[in-house]
Amino acid sequence: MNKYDAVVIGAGNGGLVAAIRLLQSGAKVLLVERHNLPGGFATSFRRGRFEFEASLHELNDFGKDGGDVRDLFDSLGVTNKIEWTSIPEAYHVICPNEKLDATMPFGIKAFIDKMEEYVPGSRKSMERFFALASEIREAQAYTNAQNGNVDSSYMVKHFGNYVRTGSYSVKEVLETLKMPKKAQDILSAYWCYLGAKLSDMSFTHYASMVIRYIDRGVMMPKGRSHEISLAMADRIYELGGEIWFNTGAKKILTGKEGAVCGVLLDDGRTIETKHVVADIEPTVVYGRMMDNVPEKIVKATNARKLAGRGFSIFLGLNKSPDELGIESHNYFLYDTSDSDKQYELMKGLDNAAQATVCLNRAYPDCSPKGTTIMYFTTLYMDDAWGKVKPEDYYKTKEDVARRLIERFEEYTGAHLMGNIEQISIATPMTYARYGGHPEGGIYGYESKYDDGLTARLLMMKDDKMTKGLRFCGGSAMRLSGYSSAYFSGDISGRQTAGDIKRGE
Amino acid sequence: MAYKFKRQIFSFLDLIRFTKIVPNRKKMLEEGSSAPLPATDDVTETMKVLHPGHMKGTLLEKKEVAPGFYSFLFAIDKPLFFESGSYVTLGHEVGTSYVTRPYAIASSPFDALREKRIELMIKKAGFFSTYMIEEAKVADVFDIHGPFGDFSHESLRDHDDVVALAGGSGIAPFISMARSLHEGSSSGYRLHIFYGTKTLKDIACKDELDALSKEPNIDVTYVLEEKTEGYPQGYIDRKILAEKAPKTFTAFISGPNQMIAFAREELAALGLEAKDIIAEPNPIRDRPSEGKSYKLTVHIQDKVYEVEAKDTETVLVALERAAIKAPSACRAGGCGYCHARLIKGKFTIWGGDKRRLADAKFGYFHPCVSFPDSDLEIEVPPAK
Repeated sequence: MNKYDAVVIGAGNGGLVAAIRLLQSGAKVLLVERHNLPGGFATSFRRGRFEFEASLHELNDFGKDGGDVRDLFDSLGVTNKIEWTSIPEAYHVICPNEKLDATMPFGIKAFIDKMEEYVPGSRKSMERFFALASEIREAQAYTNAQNGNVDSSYMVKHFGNYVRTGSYSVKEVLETLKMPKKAQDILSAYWCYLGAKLSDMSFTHYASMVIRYIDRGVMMPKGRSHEISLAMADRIYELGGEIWFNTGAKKILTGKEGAVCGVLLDDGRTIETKHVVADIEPTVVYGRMMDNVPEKIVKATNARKLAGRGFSIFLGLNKSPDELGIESHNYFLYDTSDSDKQYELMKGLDNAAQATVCLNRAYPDCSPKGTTIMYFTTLYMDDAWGKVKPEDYYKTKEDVARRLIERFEEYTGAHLMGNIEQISIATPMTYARYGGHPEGGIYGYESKYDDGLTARLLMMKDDKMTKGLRFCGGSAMRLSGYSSAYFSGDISGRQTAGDIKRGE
Repeated sequence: MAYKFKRQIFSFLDLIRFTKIVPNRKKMLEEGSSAPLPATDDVTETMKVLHPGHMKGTLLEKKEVAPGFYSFLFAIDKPLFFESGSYVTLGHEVGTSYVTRPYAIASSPFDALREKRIELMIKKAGFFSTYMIEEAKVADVFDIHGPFGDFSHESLRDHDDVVALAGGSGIAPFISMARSLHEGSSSGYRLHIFYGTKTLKDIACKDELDALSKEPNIDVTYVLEEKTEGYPQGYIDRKILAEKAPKTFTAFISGPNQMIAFAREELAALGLEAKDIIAEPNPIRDRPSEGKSYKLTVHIQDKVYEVEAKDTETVLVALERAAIKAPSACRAGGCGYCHARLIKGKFTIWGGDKRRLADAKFGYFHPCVSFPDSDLEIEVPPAK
């Protein structure tokens, strides 16, 4: 009999954690995944003598002495299944048009000291920034623990700055802190990780990410993110869960009062369940997987803005990083540090802004001696790839990749062309293919002024619009990114376990 | 005293703004369009043409293009645009088995896109090829899956001159590349084909290749083992390459294993770097062994099967023999498409371990290149 307490659809970062949480509560759980691997974007692939990381630059909030993500992994029982390596520096941001070239270290003190070196007079505003960021992170931990049912007077008393900054954009807060312009530019280098411009992005979202990177420890699994995904799958098997790969969910079935009653699989089988956790965008769930969706939900889903569409290049080079002239692990290369302007430039196919990683600079043994692994990523803030016809596709992706690689060479002085032994290019089509994401988006919904982190956390209850259905993953209440997706799986997994216990 | 953030003139105004966050978002959600949510989008639709996945292929025509070497033309049920050099798998029931095999596409990308046709070339060699050549009939319907592979010109990696070394039936992907350059569905490189066969009559599609070689970006050199008037005799070796190939080039090799190994040596002798030699490994075949037989327990979703596994055959062949539809593509251990989980037992990998690091650590393996050394219990995802 195919009957489960809960079905988790999608074995991405959120779905894996949600499944473990449900199993830990004693529920009978089926995890279905249409691809043949767990992890979603958290995976790797082989080409010749290289194994490429598909998406992870570094996992934040994972310090040796704790960190919210490490604590989560500990309680899931997966930390020790994974071999970890550390990351040398936070980031290297370069913007030659504005003569900006800064390499920032981990650690609040080191970060502030370095900033003072680059921008004398920035110290006070930086100290204030980190004071706010710490408080915001603590407030989020509290919100998580309360499953969004927060006590507002407690919030104001203990996390006053979270409340006071909660309604503002990054730009508004940094201005209020009287942070020198150049320090703002250096500090905001991470913005493309969240994919919204600083005049739009909620400060709490950005600050909470920065502190997770700078202060809370950053790690990388040696076996690439695939090692995390397999460790989670291993944990699911240990707890008696089932994962069905190559098994897509076609429909989420609803019955009385619109409540979930089952899942119809691609192969025509029906799984009976009252609880679904979907590691999928609501746009896809309500647009493709459910019938008779109430108008309120259609409107609320249409109102949201898709975030950046992904493009990545994976290079296996036949020389060492020293020979190629690559200094750093993690680069951000921008045309301009004005994220409003950069955001506009990232709408066209000629976009060459990028976040680029040389994995060997964190993990020298990740490829054979005398070779190098790099991966380049950019985002498109509009549906530019939707206009590319199939017959122009291969040429277009090579042209775009060439521009990104040449931009890297121009900004850093490295020599990559002529040394490429393996290359693989992922476009929005690739992300649509493997993840089923609309327009090939990799960041869910944009972290916009009205749809930012604070707003979503405060509205977790309101966002549960279908009885028996909860969401996790990059489009959910914690927004996109590895740690966010893991947290969302934790929240929705625990909440669904509660729903089951209460007999809802 | 700890820093207290304040942006408005009066601190309470910052707090009041906070209380507006939820009403503002509620309003934003209420103001969304009531038009139906999008069921698809342009990127997704284009993706489906580039990666149609599973197709039905109806056999339109079968003809012998050289002794024992056949061309099969299929009508496919979806448009496809692929990069020349790609392969698909062809699948069908054969007796009580369900079998798939990878074959390079010989036809052109525009043919697949505009006419919904693809051509595969099959040489009589083993179980499935014999079935195709002797039993497959026009109007039979096959499962075609793909495209797959990394055997295409990459302008960022490769030189503008490509030397294609083909041994016998290995010509198929290069015919596709030549046709693609000719019709303009690809460009940006010159293709120099070196096509080695035993005799003159073993050359497939010679008339067409001769015509294509009149293009400015294509030339073809036939190298025959048998002494023949007007053709170089022997193998595609360093001598003939030094004489006829351009100075700098990227080599693509396609042919039997021995031919690939020989070509690699010859190219290395000419000073080619490893990065300039592209070859896709051939499918793994039988392992010479004692002929022991083991019990193979297979979990697929909530079903369990017990079948026989011979130590001379890969785990994938054991599954196919039992008519279990398991995923497979390259049959050479590299593409990862048959990724399966080992629950219990021992196996040996042939042709090199091409798994991801974590796969080996957590007990995942590729049945297409793994031979059983004991009773095995495995979990396999269903073939879609």
